[in-house]
Amino acid sequence: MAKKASMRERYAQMTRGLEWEPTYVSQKEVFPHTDFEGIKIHDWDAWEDPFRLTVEAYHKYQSEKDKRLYAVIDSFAQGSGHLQVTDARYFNAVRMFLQGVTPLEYQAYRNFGYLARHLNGAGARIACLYQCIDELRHNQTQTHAVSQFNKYYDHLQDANVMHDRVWYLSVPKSFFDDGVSAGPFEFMLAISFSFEYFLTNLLFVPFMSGASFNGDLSTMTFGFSAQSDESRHMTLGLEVIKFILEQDEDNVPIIQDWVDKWFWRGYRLLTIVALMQDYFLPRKGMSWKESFELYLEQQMLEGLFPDLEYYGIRPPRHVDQAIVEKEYLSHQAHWIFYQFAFAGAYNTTVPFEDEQEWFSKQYPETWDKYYAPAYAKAKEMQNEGKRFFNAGLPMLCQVCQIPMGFTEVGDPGTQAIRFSHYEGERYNTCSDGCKWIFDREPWKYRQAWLPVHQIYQGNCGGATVPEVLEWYGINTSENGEYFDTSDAKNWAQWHEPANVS
Amino acid sequence: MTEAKRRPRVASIDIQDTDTNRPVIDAIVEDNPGCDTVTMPGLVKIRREGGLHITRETVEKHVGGEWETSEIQLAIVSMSGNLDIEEDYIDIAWKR
Repeated sequence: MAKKASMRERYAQMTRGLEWEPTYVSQKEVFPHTDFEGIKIHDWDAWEDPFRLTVEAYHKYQSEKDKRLYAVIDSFAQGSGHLQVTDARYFNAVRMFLQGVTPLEYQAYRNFGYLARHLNGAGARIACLYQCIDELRHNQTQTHAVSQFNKYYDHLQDANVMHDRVWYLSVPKSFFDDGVSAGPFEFMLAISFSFEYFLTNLLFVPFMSGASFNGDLSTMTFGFSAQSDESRHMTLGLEVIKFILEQDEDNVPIIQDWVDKWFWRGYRLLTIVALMQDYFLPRKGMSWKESFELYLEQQMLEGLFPDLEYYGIRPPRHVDQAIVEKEYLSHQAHWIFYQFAFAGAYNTTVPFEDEQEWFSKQYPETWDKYYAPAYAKAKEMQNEGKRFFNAGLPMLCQVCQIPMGFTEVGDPGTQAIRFSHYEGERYNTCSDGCKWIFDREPWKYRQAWLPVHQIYQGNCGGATVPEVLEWYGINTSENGEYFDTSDAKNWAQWHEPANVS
Repeated sequence: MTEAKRRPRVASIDIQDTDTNRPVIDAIVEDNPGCDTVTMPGLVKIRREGGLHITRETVEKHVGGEWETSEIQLAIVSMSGNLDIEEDYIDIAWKR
């Protein structure tokens, strides 16, 4: 009897072994999209998939993962799991996730499907096929996991509609729109490197650990289950970069440019994760700053980048600014969210005293000096029955689309703003990083769908706040100040001591 | 990042902290003397300077039955390093 083929042999037979050279048509006709970006690939067979997964093995492990995941989701829902979380304020993290991240999984699914058809090499296509199915799985499992909360808490309905319309959700949406409207290699680098290597590690590891710490088994499990796929995606990301760099020296400056661009795009998108991590997890585990140090500074800058140095790739442009901002990024983000909560599908309140003590310990350089006084004033106004909301419409960054709430690097007291001029118009950006990105491709970013501009142009349901919020699909009796919502009232009622007399 | 500031190259793997995975975690710790483990809610991070080497043999000893190296996918949350996976072992290390 013949010896069983090794993992390596099986993988080779079931991927490259099934490929054929077209003879009726040219390579160029079959794969028309892989040379306009200037990337030169000489040998697609040099592509390695370290996981060496065949379709059969892929299905075996994925179905096992799903079985385990759905068992947890089911039993958690069956046991009224939502009552076990720390506090109803926690659900703002779940809202942010479902509105901001889940629709991105669907975007990724679509474009990896495109890559699975359009890349020349069978090894690369099969890796993208798995990732395509993975991303659809993530969209579905996240939706299922969160759907149980939709019975009790608002703002979990119509996440896809909100994603397309609501002001703060244009931040994640524009990141992906930017990616899918780029060429196939840039998209692969944007998603595999920036999104998978950098972003998902922060979103699905320390944040999900935080979900566990706050009693939300359902979210923790879908997070970890998704991230187990992401470890494959990160491996693909590494492979993509190394493969392209090894193919031709001319590819190096192009890749460096994309690394620079997508690092900063990804980092600005992480602002939302920083906010979720520090403010929307009532029981505090790891702070944003600690997560950033562990996953970005240690794992990425000391792990990945020394490996890439060999190919002539240096750490991303502006990374030093991101390192400085770890001291205050989450606080600047929440201050924006606190004052605009009347216009969002979430609720906010002044952080509780024990949280403020924790912030003071975690952020000794900035909290007491800049943010404690702001929330003290907000608390005072609230006590006088004048809860502070910002009634104006903020100026947005043309690239990351976040309201201009960022400051000069290392100087949390000075508002930052940058200007670029292009064909007679002025464009505003929030930072050196976003300005650099705009100036590289002004013709692309001038087309940004900026929510505030769209409201002024009359494209968002009407000229008044209630009309716009109705168009957003937001239930305005359940957003704004947390203590004025049913969340707070129901939570108190559901947790009254059981009457045993 | 200057040369002087760079810490030694550490590779790591994050594993879901469950009963099913306990023997896998124990096996990784046994195979990698000098590694350090960090426990966070829901997960265990195992780190080691120079890289991690995981053998099927040690995992099977702890599991008390058959275990395929690909099954690491059911336990893993994330990792840091280049992966090399074969029938009998898994290596996670930075190359350069």
